[in-house]
Amino acid sequence: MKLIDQLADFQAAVDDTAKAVNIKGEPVLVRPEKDRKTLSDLLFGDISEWIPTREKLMDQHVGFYYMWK
Amino acid sequence: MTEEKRSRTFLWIVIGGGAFFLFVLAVFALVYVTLHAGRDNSLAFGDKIGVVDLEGVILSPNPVVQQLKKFGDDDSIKAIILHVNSPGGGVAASEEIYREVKRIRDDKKKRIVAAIETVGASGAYYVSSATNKIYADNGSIVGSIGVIAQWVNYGQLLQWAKLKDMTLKAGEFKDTGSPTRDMTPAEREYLQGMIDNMHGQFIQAVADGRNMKFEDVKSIANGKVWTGQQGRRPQHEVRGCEVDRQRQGLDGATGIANEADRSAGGFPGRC
Repeated sequence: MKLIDQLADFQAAVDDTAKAVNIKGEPVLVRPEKDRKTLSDLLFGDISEWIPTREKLMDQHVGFYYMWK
Repeated sequence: MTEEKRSRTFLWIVIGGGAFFLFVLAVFALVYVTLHAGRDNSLAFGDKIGVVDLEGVILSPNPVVQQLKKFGDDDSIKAIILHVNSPGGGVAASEEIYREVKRIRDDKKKRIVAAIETVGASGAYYVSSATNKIYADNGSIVGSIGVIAQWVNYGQLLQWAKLKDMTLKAGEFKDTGSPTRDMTPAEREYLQGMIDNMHGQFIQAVADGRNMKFEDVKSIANGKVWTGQQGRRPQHEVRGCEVDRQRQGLDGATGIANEADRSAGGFPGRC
């Protein structure tokens, strides 16, 4: 079937990937900084996404999904 | 003499003020670096691997694509791990992330792999298929190569409430999928055609990403999910298991090929 290549947990995937790109020793994992909402964003930023609009209420068209339900 | 003293005092004020300013700047810089290094390690030294989370239902490609782009362009990032825990999501959103992953792998020649946690199904599997390598746990849920469109028809509810939907349209199929009435056979055929087309795109994408034959992917593109352990097996073994399961009437309603059931079949320990 070959849907996947290797049975491994996350740490094993990290170790294997580090080995594949010739990283010696423990690799440093970098995650993208999360987008944080501050109080000033709430007070002075764009809050339109949180307000229901006529367009949002009309948004009931058929959607197609690659999704497991 | 007084003039000289005054200018000397002024000099000391300038030096002292400058030193104080530099000190404050250094403190702020230290606090900033400490906070950010603790958060994402991007300022840390050493060889780095970028980790991008693909979590939950994929509705918008934007955050993930931007993160992938950033790591893809960063030469200090030696490889990227797509940490997957998602049942999939929107067709176009999944496709956009898939394309970015493929760009990193093929154009930038940077290693990118997928590590599937609890679930990497449908759109999330679509995205994962573009990576160099897919890792999953024994019990991870993978696969579900299929397309779905679902909505609630509340036409009868409107009738019961004595309400009527009013629609003016130009173009026979303009209101296809209206939740207030049943679909005509032509509309059903039209939507099914779209879904079949998307299904073909999905299969082709997995075949391209995984370097497999279209027909091989198609044979397992029935919407079923599989455990990581099952997903790793050669196809002929799993087919043998399926035939055996059908013979014994063990096929479940959930679509999840149950490992325990399979073990009860003719391939103990393997199916």
